Amino acid sequence: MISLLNPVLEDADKFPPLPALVLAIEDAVDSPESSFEDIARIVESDADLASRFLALANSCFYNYPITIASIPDALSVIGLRNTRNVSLSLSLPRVLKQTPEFPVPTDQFWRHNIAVGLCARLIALESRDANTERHFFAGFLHKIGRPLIANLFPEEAKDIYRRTQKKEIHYQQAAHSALGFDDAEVGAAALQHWRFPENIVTLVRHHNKPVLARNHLRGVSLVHIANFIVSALDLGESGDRFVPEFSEAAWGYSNFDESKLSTIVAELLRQLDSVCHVFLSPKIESR
Amino acid sequence: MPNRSPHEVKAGDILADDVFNLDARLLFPAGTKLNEKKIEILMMWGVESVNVEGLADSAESIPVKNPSNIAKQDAELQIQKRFKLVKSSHPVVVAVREIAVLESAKSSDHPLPQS
Repeated sequence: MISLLNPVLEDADKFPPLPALVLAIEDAVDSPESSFEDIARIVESDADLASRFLALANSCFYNYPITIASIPDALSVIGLRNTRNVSLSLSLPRVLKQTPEFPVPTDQFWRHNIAVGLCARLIALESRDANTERHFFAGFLHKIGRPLIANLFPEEAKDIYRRTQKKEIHYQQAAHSALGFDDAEVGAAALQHWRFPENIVTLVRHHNKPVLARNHLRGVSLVHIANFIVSALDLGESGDRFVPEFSEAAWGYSNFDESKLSTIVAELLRQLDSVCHVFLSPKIESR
Repeated sequence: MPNRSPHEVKAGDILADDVFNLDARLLFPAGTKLNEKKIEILMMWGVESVNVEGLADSAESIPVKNPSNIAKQDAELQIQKRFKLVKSSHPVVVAVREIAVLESAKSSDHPLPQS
């Protein structure tokens, strides 16, 4: 376990508890005695979660050539390694809702995050990386610190948001001057508490300043670049009024070809609504 | 100098005469290039007709002023504001900015959910 950067965040009990179903899936995935069928049975026990798993497996995110009709098949497509992260990520838009302290509409906030996740993953796919899902999760979670700051430090959160809207300043700078740490650090601490893989925690912690990352430099850079592209395209709403600063070093680490940017954006716009539907619709019907 | 109702003018048309509202207040001076917002203002103030520059029989030739270029200009301004804190002029920043302007101009005809 890596250490938390700021002692204020060490009281992990401050972070919202995860739904019992997510914890049950986590236990089953972690247990060497659990079979594939055991995990499928837990997912199936919740109709809403099951239909979202099916919808995700059938979405253009996986582009699977045949229709997936059962949870075991959906788990095969999504992969057991990602099952826990998917169930947790599906629950977060319901756990972290809009508050007066961070008044960005829930759907728009998560639309921004989903777009960043998709964009980072598309760049990774285009580069033929392995395990591209981690880029999606890192993008999906990269700004999770913002609603968490609203929960943990409501007084400061109001001021941070007000300053971000009134002054020419990015949210993370306003957060840093009010709290001594920024939202990326809070997000990373929460993900560590919720036992996300270390690589995803690092991608979230350093996405604003990729050069500070000691590990996973390329992955961190992809999230940084994806956040830049999505903010420029104004997809969803992050709480920032301005496009973030662009790290030229991150572009260097990404080793990506500039001529492919238009293709990535076209594919991102093609996928965005269907993936947002899986994560954000109050109720969904699977195919 | 064809006389047109605000419902007939197009983004890109240029006003040939000053346009006033019913209170005789100047809305737009001659030479103003119309965009969707300005056309909306003409309708909002109940202006019945305006003179626009161009050939009298050239209703078909007016679209030479490409509406997508106008949308692109509006998008440019919007993106310029959003990029205010970006210091880098790296070619990727320029490329992403151009893509953002293009997408914003495209979506101004079919707005995406407000963000």
